[in-house]
Amino acid sequence: MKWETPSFVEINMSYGSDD
Amino acid sequence: MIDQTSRLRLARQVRLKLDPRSGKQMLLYPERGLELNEIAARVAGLCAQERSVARTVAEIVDEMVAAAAGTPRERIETEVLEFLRALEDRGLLAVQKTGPHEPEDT
Repeated sequence: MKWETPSFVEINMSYGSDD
Repeated sequence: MIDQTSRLRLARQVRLKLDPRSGKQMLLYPERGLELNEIAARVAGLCAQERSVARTVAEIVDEMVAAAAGTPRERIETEVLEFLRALEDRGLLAVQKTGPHEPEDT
């Protein structure tokens, strides 16, 4: 595994029904 | 704000799942989700069980050293902490502060 800055893309799900 | 002494885990109703369409790991929570890159997914996976930030960072650093990634430890620590704080800002982590005399991990 090579280092990369941990990052994410935010997604508006409205998996909606996936407690 | 979390620091090296904080203990944390993924908050209730937060799930780490593989998106079959993109092949990427997703952090899912009601109505929203985060598509994670490989390192972010590894860090999030370590948060599935409660542990200290210091231990999480140490595990990531150890993996990087084992992989001969050549990345300075300080950079890894800083960027992992920034990522965890971004998750905390979104309410995705359950965080506990440990006292100065409490054991780091049992």
